[in-house]
Amino acid sequence: MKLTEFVVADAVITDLQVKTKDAAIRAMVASLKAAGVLSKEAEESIVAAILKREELGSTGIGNGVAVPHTKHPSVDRLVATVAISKGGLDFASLDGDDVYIIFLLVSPPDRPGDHLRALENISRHLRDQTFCKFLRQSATVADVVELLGEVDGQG
Amino acid sequence: MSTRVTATVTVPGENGLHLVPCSLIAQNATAFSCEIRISKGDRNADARNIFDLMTLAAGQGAQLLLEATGDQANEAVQSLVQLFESGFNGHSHRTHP
Repeated sequence: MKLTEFVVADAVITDLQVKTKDAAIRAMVASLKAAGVLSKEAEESIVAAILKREELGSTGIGNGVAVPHTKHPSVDRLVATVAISKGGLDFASLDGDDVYIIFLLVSPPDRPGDHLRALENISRHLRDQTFCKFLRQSATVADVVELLGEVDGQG
Repeated sequence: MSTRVTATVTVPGENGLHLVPCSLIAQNATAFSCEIRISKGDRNADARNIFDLMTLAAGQGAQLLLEATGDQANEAVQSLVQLFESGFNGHSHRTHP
């Protein structure tokens, strides 16, 4: 499952301006809606579900990275977006550090395998400091998409 | 003397080893000083590293090999086996205020 297969290019945010975890999640879900992959009706419910998931434990998993996510019946395939915060934001991360890179995933309830494979792919790249550095330096959506495409090509 | 202890566990839960179980494993493993590796087939992860653990992409029913080497290796493996057997329930997350 390649990054470019589930990361929606039109929803990528290269300069996330918000300062809180809640606002970041709202902005990213709104971006997926604006890109046409989430319905307007489902938006609030998806935000609420992701915030509820965060209450179980932050998806800020260290390395300046967070992976907020939820299952939601309004999608029939896994969709995701990436946001980069240049200044970093408090995500209540497990290591206590600020978060600069956020991958947000919404997956269909009946496809736990896809969710695992997407997490596997994202984690494999996010543990690589060079990838994180390049991602944080991406100035445009085209830069992000090119970088994702490049690492997809590496298998 | 370096002690090496191994055990095989089965991944519980329909969602497999997603982010919550991986966080719990890493949190649990951090409490021990020994090296702890978890492998699925030819994929091998440092049990303290959530990123590594998620790259196992271990679905429900997958067989994993736990391997601890060093001080408290036995305790570490027992603790992780218990965590898997509990279905990752009843273990609260560490949260930062």
